[in-house]
Amino acid sequence: MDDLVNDFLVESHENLERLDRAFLTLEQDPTAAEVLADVFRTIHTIKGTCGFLGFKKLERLSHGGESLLARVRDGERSFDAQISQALFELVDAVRAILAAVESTGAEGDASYDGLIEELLALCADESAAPALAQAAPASPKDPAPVESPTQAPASARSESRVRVDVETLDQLMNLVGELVLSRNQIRLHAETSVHAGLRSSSLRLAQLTSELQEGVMRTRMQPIGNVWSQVPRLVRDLCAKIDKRIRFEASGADTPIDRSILEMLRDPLMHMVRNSIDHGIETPSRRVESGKPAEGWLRVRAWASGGRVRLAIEDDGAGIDPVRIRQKALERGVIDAAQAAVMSDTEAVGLIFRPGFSTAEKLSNISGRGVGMDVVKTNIERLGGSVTIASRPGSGTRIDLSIPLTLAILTVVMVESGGVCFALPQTSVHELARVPPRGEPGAPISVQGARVLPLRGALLPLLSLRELLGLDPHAIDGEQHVVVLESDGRRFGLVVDALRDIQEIVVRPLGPALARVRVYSGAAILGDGRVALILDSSALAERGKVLHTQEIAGQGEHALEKSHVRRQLLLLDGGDAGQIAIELAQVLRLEEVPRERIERSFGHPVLRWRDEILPLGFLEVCLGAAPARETERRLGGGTRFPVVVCDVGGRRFGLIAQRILDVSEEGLEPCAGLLPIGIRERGSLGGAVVHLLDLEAIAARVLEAHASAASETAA
Amino acid sequence: MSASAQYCSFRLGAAEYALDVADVQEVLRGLEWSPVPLAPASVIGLMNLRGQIVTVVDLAKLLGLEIEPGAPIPAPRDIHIVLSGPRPPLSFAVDEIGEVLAIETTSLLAPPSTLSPAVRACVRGLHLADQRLITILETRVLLEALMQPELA
Repeated sequence: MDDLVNDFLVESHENLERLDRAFLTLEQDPTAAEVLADVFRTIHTIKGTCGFLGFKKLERLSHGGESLLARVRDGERSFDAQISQALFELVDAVRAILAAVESTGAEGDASYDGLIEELLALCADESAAPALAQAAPASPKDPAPVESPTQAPASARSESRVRVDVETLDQLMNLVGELVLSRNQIRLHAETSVHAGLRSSSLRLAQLTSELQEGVMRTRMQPIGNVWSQVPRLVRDLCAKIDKRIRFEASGADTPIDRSILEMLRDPLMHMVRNSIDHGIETPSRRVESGKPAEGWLRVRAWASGGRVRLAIEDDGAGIDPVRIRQKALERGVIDAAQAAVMSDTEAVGLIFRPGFSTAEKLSNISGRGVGMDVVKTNIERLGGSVTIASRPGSGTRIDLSIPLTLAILTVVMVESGGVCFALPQTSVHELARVPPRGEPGAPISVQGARVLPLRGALLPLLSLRELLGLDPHAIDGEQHVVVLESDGRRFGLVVDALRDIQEIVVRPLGPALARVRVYSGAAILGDGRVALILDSSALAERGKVLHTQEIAGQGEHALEKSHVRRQLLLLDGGDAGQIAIELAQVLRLEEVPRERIERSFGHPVLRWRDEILPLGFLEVCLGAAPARETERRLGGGTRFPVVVCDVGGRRFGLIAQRILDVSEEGLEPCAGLLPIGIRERGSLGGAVVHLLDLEAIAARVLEAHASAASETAA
Repeated sequence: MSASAQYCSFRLGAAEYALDVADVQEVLRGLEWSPVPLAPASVIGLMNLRGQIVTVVDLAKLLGLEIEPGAPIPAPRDIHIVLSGPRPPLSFAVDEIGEVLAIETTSLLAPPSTLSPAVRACVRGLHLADQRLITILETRVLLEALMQPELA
């Protein structure tokens, strides 16, 4: 019996989502006969099962809905706003009862008599009123002509699909994790063995294990669209409440993602959607005033890229005004006046990710829920993902997420401190460096008790893992390596005794007894059977009281003015755009690419680079110094192209320059004046005018061009 | 059938304790564990039990037992009573494992009122037989105590 109820719950939740979608369709097109028939069948099924399981309230409710829908289906009543409202309420009521059934096993005490009466009254409205008379509980001999079609599609589907308990899948994943570990161990033994048969069997085992791992991971994948299945309904309800007109569009709903990530993505996504509806998109009257169509749009797109899933949430609303953000941040003491003065617009927009920041002038009941974008960012980063935001005041906002496909298996850098091994997720490791011994150039310096490491012209704050974790504080001399970590907008160096290898590990949760120790995000069993803790870099930064990069950057730029601390710049010939500089820290690699290696994707140039596909852009075109069609001519012209591979917050792309000129350590002598879009600074260097790229803006432009070309072609 | 239950007895310092066998999955000896820096004092570390990560709890610390003055300094506890309930799994480290006793529920004595209320809450009852006093612990309450800040 319990199994029956469980099956019923699972099935009903799916059915309710179908109903939500169907009612939304009907609101657009009240005459869609097929949709109506489908809705009717769905409700009828729910009613039938409720009757069988003895859920009286549910049965009466769904009976009310069914009666109303029967009138609509038979053309006796037209599907209008009043009906759709009542039906949405019905769906909500059924959901509430199901929730009660799920937690208590009974239907709960809430009374839905009012709603039932309303449903039945609506049945009666337009025609003579025989239906009202039988308002009492469901009569068993209700319209049954659609009984058989209900069964047919369901059973056809059930043959090719099996419902598997999530727990079983989790167990399988754990077992596969164990198998990966055993494989690693066997491989270790086989490598040193003289037995040739063992070596070849070990290779075969390794390959099978990888395939099995992939297969099991696939079983845990769900379409990412599930995460926004409730958004259309949310948009509809909110729009009705605050008098806005918004069209919701989604694409890439089939993109697969691990179900545990899906769950953790739901709240942040809903939050961003609410933000967009509440603060982003303007009221119809204001939109018309500013020359936009009265109806705004909100678009969610997902696609897979390089072992990760990308998600873009865009709207054509008012955008984020960097001036207002700066002002608010000042008022709230998030930054000080000096920082505000040197902050670029891109950095200012990024302030919305800082704790304690909310620009809503009046708190509304839609998004004023006490959590802000900082929580969204923290949650996404906890998943090993990243968030960036780009906004043009007046024309819209775009938020980009990059999320790993799965959480269960993680690539980590193993480090050792005080005789204990720890794992650091590779996504948060920026680089590894060796600490020169005291007295040698480049050794750590102590600034009023805080240790810093001079690294490429900047000072990196250092935290000792021994000190942070209270490990054996002696033998400081043993600390020889620095892992540069970046998380949560903070960058710092973690000093450890030794660096070990890079491993793939299976993440295990820590029990509740250790849940309060925030510096660990989990544990894992290593190839040698030992248990290692996985460090959470943002919790470490918090424990070490590391400031946010913007704060450091702000202070850094003051220092720059006074002492001309130098950063390394890569100088490029940007053709009509003049001499262009890129900070070397943002450059992954320089490549000379022959023309035939540059391929096309939806008309835009791309390069297969390592194991990913790199979008390319011509420097002049990105900067608007040459028209887009120039791309074609240039691609036809050269035989080899210098490509600068850049990395901006995990997003990679290539810039094609005319020529690579030089790497310079000279500082830019700043010049005053307005800066074109995509340029962060202008100055003179070695007698020439040099423009320093705002690589974030350029990244947005290159990736945007590619993404929109792809979606236009797809549409 | 009289209401009796089976208990797994063990020793912490000089005193004898027992847990309901229904709460015990297995007893192990001599497994290595990895320390967990910054963990609450009652958590000793983590160990690998056939691919499961087990949280090792120092039961004496959890109960707030003082080492009696003059008693020899105990060797690191390396007998683990792995509990059957919690997931991820959890084990209590004890000094010595005893036998399985069948004890009638009605013969259990109430804990003395001089015990601190927090510790008293963890005690199901006392069993007195042949000059031995065995304190029978309530696993569920011990687990709850683990989630709390240190037990007084």
